[in-house]
Amino acid sequence: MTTSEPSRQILDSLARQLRQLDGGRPLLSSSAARLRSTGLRTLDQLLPERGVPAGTLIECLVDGNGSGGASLALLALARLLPERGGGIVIDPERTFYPLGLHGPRGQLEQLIVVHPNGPNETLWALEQSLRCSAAAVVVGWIDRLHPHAYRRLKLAAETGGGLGWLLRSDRYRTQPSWADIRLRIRPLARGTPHTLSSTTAHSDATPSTPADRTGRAEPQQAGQRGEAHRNTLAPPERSDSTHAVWRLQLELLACRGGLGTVVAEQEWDDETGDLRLVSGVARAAGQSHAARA
Amino acid sequence: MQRVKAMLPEPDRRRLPIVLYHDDGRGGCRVAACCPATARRGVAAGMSLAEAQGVLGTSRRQPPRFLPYDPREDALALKELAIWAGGFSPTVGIVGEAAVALEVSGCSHLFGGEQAMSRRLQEAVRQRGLFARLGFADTLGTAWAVAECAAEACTLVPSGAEAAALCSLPVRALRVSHTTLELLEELGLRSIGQVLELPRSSLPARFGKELGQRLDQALGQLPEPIEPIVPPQPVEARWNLEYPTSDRRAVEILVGRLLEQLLASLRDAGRGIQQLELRLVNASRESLVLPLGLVSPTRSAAHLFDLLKTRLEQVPLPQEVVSVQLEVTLAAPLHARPLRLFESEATGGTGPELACLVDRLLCRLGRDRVVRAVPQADPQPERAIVWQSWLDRSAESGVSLDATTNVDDTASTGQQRPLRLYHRPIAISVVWDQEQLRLEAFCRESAEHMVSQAWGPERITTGWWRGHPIARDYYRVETTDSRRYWLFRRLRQQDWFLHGEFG
Repeated sequence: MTTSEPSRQILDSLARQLRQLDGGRPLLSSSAARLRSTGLRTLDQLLPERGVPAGTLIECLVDGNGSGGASLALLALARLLPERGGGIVIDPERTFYPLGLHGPRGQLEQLIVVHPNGPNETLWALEQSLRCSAAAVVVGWIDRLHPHAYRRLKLAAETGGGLGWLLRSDRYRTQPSWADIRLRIRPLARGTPHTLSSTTAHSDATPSTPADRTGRAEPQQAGQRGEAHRNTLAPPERSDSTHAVWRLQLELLACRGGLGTVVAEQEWDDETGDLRLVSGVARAAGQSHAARA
Repeated sequence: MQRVKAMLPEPDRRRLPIVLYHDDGRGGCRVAACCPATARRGVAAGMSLAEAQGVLGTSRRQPPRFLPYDPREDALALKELAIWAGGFSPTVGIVGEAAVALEVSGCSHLFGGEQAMSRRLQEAVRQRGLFARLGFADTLGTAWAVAECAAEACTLVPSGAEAAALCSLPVRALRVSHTTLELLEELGLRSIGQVLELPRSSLPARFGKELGQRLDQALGQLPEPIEPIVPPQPVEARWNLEYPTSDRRAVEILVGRLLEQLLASLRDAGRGIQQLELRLVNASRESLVLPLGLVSPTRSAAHLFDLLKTRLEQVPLPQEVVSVQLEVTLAAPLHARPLRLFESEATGGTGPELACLVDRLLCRLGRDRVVRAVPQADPQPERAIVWQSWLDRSAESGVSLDATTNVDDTASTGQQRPLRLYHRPIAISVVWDQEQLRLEAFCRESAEHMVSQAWGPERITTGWWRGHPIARDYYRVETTDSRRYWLFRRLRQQDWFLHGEFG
């Protein structure tokens, strides 16, 4: 069945009004605002508008070392760098290793890496970078963040119009956030069954049409956030292959205009750097603004 | 060679043997120059680099250093030396690729004569870490010839004795082309004296105009003026206060006014400011110097003032400032403005804004804190990336700052690398299944991580010739809680380390 253009507009408008009624502020300040990709097509698909407007701040809560949170943010950076340029990495611990980025080596030349000393310099560097209109993507590690400072970062991002990724420890989950999008990323133990019944896999490398908003299938409603991650450990398995997929759970804790917590599982192919959505999307309604400032 | 030696720290300068090499254009490297110590051990210009490495071997006490030859840097260093030599003579020029000429007529008596002047010059050059061969003569050609080819390090040729001084010198002292030199050698003419014995009128027909012209110049029959090097005029502005001040706001206002003066003086020249020095002088004549560097030349007063204000905020203001001075230490043409810095075709004109951001970050955080990654063709992970300051990049690239140059794709090994690499590998203990030859678990700071999957080993070794060789087997491991790490085992010591983490 095909949907005519006026009907699509009406459906779009109704969907927007529903989201506002649900308590969420719209991610878009006006209907004329242009949507952009976050750099991760699989994340775009979880967002109500299938993209983000300019000046969006994304907070990414990372569950400890080696858990994959930074991988997603830096994958987004690597994807957007050739297209938009102006990539900045704020790395106070000085452990960022650019050869781990997927993409041509030539783009390293365009990457500005900042090594601030201490939390004050980190905050200052982040604010300056976000405020710069030529900085398309800013990725920074920052832990303690006063709400006032957080608000300043949000305003800086709105001024600059770029995309900001803040990488923080998961222990700050209960603290208020000014970010437009709040994510939590955890690795899924090998052998953990898929949380939800499998839907068609969406590859991050072969995106679907971003403008397809009304024609999309609604995500499945099965599963709650608390059930998403089961610590069922599978027996150790070995692989002689040179690479293997890495299963990551992406939890969309809060999003402007979102309808609740969204949980999805993704597979990261560490050889190609592709990210695939392997399970459907679960919504835990009513928890979307639990930790919003 | 001397330039490179002069750049080394004092102990290394005296001790370390140095060899400079260049690309021979056929995929190999050849020795461009070597120090006397390595020459004594059998290294010579033109030798292949591998052969030179084999000749020198590895000495732990005196490890030889192999450095790339950079003729552009040599030319810049020679120009700098010529400008410095302006302290001995008002007219200084450059001759060829490695000589500085001074017009000492009328000024040698100020140093007590030519003999005394030569001693002063030798000593001053030695203090710069260089060694000079000197020649004093009435003509530039003769002075160059005796400096280059005479047996002594310093030769004074009396007036009118040029021909006698030249007779015993080889023909290469005449500064003729390589073709002429080969022709002279084929004819068995090895010294200038032999050439002088030939009928003068036959020289142009046999050797072209060049040989006769050089002879005439050396003997003083043709003029050869020194083309003087003009030292760059300092662009500076200063404000001497009638009454001392310690008011930061007052100093900032003065800095703003001086900045406008500087920019006005540069406007006609079509240049912008790339390096700047702010000096605050107090009543005791002590100066506080605040240098400022930019990634690209600019004439934006607001941007420069913003940066200078940031620099001022970082230091305590001296008490009783009596003079505020601004000096442009590097001005560059504005048409060389790096429009392509940071830019790709898609970014379209955002370069200058990013350059301003980098200026601000550099100004506040310091030059080594705002960097870019330069991949190296080194298999050792710690050395596969060199962090280069954005300020150094703009300085070394000169006027054509192109973001896509100097990309070294050889560093791409096709192997997965972690996103976070520790400064120092962390020692860990592991549980290794001897039967299955598998890694079962590793323990880091009393926390045990069970390994569910491991990929590897990826063997990384470095050659003995580089010094401190490594031999490691790297493993990518995934723990049972699905975290990914990068471990390695040292092959000789058989101990294990955690070197990085994925994600």
